[in-house]
Amino acid sequence: MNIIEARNLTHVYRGKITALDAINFTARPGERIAIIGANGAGKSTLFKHFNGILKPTSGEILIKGKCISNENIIEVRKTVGVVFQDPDDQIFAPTVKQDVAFGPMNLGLSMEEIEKRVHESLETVRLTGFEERAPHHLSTGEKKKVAIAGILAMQPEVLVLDEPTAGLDPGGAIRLIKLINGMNRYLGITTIVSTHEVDIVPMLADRVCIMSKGKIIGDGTPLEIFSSPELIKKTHLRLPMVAQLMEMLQEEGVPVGVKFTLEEARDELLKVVK
Amino acid sequence: MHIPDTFIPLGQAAIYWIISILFIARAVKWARKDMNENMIPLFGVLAAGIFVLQTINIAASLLIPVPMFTGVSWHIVGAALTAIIFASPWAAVLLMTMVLAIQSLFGDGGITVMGANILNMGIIGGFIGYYTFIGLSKLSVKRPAAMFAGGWLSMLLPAIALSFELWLAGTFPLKQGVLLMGTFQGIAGIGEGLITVIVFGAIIKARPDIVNEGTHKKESTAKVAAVGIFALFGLAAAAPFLASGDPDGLQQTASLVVSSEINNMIAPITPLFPSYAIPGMGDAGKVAAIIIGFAAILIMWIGISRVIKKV
Amino acid sequence: MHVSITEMERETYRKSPIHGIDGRIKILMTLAITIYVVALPRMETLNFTKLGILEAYLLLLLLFSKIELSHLAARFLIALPFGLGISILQPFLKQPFLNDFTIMYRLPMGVEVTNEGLLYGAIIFLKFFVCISAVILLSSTTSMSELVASARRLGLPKEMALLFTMMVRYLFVFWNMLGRIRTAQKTRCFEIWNRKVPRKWTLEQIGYTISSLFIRSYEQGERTYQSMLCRGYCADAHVYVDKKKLHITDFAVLAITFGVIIVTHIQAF
Repeated sequence: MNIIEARNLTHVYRGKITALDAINFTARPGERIAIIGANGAGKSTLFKHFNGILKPTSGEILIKGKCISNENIIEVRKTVGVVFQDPDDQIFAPTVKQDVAFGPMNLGLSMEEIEKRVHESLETVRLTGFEERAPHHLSTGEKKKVAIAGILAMQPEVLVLDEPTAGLDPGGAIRLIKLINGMNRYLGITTIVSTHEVDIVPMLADRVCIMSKGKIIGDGTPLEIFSSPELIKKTHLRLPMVAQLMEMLQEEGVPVGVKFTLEEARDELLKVVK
Repeated sequence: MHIPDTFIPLGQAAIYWIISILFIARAVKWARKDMNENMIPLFGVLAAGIFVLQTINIAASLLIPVPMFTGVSWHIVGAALTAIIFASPWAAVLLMTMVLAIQSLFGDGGITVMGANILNMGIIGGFIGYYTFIGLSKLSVKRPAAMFAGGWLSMLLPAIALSFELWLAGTFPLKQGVLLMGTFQGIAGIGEGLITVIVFGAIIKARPDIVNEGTHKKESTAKVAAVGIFALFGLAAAAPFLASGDPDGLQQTASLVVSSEINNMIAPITPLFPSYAIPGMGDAGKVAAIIIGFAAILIMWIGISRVIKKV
Repeated sequence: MHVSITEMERETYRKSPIHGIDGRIKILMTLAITIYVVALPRMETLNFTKLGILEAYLLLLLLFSKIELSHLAARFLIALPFGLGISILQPFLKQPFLNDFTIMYRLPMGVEVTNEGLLYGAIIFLKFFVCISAVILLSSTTSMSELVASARRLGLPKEMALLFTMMVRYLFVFWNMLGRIRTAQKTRCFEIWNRKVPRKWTLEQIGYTISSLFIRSYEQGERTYQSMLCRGYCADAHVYVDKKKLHITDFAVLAITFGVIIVTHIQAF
């Protein structure tokens, strides 16, 4: 069964601006999905529908096969956790522990259970020992992790991250990608990530959806998506750097295939060199 | 509790405006000069933040768990809070003035009566809130308790002032006004006090440098006493009107107006002046009796604080 | 019922003859009407005609301003409660400035409804209503930044002008920030009416929200101040407000408004 399913999802802001235009999208349990698109393509609006923050103007959105209603809204938000772009919007409590405990408290869990979940989620994001720290004194990367731990503590089945690597240094971005992949692999959480940094897409997704002007105009594996240059051009994005290099080498007559990650490209080039 | 236009006649509204403008001018001067650096830009930005955080709804049922109150919510005002954080009532005067001015565009509080609203919420709220906190701290009352009292009185006293203003305007009877607005703001004040304590605690944890704690300790007892005397004189002058020849009524309102501790302190003195009046002096006698009573309490209060300090 | 500042600001971006009038003129109009209305005597039946004319004039202007009706209704609804409450109680009170009362009805528990009280209640409510209409006309046809600039042109001291200019600039930044904070809290199922959690805890979370907003606006203020220093801000600096010429139409509108007030006052027809 699809864990998230959008059918002809349309959202019109103030009766004028069409942010989402008849979106059809499905996510199956365990998938790693990246949604790419330029600024203003509608990624954040789409994400706000996944846990019922916004209501569709028309069309419908099903979570585990059920429409979102006032009765199941808590269940929906427990199932789909959304981590927003600016961690400062999410983290408001004076200590890391209190902030991570915020979600589980709202679910009315027992104190032991809350303690356990806070401990586990901080462990998952490798922030054990940060419990009593004030969020104020954390780096951006650490704040991102606290924000993710805050959602993890609600034990979601789907983790939706809006521009997770925005504002991070390269090292921090790589660590965060590893963390996201780890949660997918070891905790079985479906991950949906939005980004416009195409270089990281092959690292954190098996499936890529391209959004442009409120529509999903392409859906497939990174290979499929990045192999159609006209699709990429249309959305003001570009190919990953590695792919561009491989293309240039191809044009120069070097017998290599276009690859998208550093490791694949290395292997491909080694074949030629040897 | 914003007074709308037309509920106070022009002449009286003008007097409140004049008082407020004097205070606002002083507050601007404070923001520009009294600090090492110019605080005007900071306060411009912060006023926007205060306006927005006043729109955060707080469920009334968090204070009074009665099903009737489901759906009713209130919000923080922040006069005591800002005064305590910046260790100056002028901060509250400036911020509240700006917030009230923008609120009046929403029809929340009138234009001609803005002076009265600034007087109540900014000036009375800020000064009473701040100096209650400082005064109680000097008496070695624990910080959260002193702050709660400051927050609570910063809501209650403006409501009393408002009732008097509406009464002087002929718009609303005094006793009912004090009872109605006093009860309402007295309850909202509990929330204001609690939130003030929580917010202050969180701020001092994250940014201890924002809070001017050093100034709290340096605040002179004379200033506290001056504000205290001013407030007590106000109350003392007001009380007989509320009492109106009915000692039971005075007892009742006194417990409404002044916190219960002060009320308990009055009790031993009252036998000195039966029915709160000095014989043969009529209404003026009542005023005098209460002023003397409050002055006695004040002297005792200062005395106790001296003793505590020495010990 | 709730009107957000962004909704209010949106209305001020419409194009209409009323939106086009200079901010200074609209401020003066609002002040003139408000002061005149407040100054009207308390107990005069002629007030009804006067207030009727002024309200009709304001409604006419509101009609020309093409503001959405639902927005107007919401604006009135949020502004009314306190004034309405005090007005409604008037028939049951004995106004201190009156001596004789004619009792209309006697209700149980000694409550009496008087003729005079009813008259006074009705007049004060109508006066209040006209004042609200005037301020709603002003604030829904003039953007806040235009209002501040106009106030400066009318002689608002430079410090106050700077304070209000910066406040208005950041009002929307923090409004949107609070919106995002609320969304993030909703995502983690926070709800102020939630009964599953202790009340003290909920109160604490609200307190933390407030302190986080406070700190973030304080820090914004620090950063803004520093960037202003970098661009040469000093104590004598003031906001730049361009000179704006008043047009004939602006003066005409002001004249018409004063004309309406004068005609209303002498009832010369």
